[in-house]
Amino acid sequence: MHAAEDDLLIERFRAGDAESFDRLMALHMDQVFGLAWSVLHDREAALDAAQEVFIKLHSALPKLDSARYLSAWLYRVCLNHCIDVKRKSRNDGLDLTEEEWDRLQGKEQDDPGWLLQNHEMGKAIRKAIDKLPVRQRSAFILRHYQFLSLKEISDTMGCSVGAVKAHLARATAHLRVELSAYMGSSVEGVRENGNV
Amino acid sequence: MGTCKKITGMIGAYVYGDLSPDEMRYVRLHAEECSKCSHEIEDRIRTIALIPTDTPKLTDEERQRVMWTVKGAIRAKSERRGFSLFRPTFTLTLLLAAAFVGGAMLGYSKIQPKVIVKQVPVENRQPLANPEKSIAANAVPKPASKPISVKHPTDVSVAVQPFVRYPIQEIYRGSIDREAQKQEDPSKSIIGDKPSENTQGDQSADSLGPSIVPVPDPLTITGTPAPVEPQCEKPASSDNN
Repeated sequence: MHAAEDDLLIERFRAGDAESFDRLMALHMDQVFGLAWSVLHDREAALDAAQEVFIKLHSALPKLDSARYLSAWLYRVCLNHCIDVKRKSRNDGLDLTEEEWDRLQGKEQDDPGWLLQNHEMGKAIRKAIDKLPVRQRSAFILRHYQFLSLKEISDTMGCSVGAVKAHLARATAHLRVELSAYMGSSVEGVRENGNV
Repeated sequence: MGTCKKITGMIGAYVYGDLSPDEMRYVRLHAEECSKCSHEIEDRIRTIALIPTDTPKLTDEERQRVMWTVKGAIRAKSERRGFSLFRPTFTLTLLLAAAFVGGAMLGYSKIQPKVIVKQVPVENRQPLANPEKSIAANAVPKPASKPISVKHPTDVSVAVQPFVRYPIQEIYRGSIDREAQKQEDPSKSIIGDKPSENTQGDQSADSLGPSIVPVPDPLTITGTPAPVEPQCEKPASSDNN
């Protein structure tokens, strides 16, 4: 995405230009924060995670091979950090943040049924994603929220493209089962066929 | 059935459109013929559609907060690292300085002459002998090349060589009648010299300001090597003794 600019900024940083690191942070802050939020579903926790990732980046930047791997490095470190945070925290992540409540209320304030349904659906979506195994969750989040290609996901996760395909297939199958109540279609047949 | 299993492993990427064109066509053609796989693909597309893809955007305030926090953490980290690198050097320097100061103090205490002032009881106090003669009798003769000049008979100066301990002997000048003391026991002269019959010296000694005058111990002086002798200045008239 910003490979050429990343290269230049990394070279400047290695030459001792501290301002170039600020520019690097500004370039990648949205992607890191978005990824952190998609795992943690909490704005403050995502901000903390982004800070941690950039602090680690500052230490790792002199040893980073090339700017080509910078995005993959950021995604991988951010994912691992967020999964660790998620694992350590006792919070099951089912509660909506204030901002999400405000957003939901702002959309359909006149329809409590819609609010309740979407609130519950939001909880169910997070619960379903959190229940995914780590590799499947990582592949799904990188694809669904970050719109990465299979090759980029494989670079980030350090596995083959075929493995990413398999992770995505299993993740979507799990999500389909978990969220079947909100789709209005039965997934019993799928269970019986052993696709999950 | 084998084809369905193969298709099932590709559906995840298919619903996102991530397969190659050939793979996409292969799955689509299979789904047209297999209702089960077609139904599975539709369900997964609807499932994915349920999950919003948008993520919240950072505000400018949050962006600034992250940047400042990161900068502060990096600065604190570098300061800690600098201190930890400096710490062993600092500790070593401190130890060396402490050892140097301790050694210097130990050496100073050894070279410092120990001054012992004895408080002599009144009844044991000895009359003051002729200090010029007494010192001159026990002092090592000074080389002839250095003439001794004394401005005043009581102007006694002692050159003390370091590392040689010279206890201070107290010379008491009391109000005892010296002549009577000499008659009673002339050998009590503290310096061992015969009491001088020259009363002028006594009078001069009586006119000394301080009552305690440090003079070298005659015994110690006798044993000292010649080059580091205590030099006693005395009147030129008595130098020839």
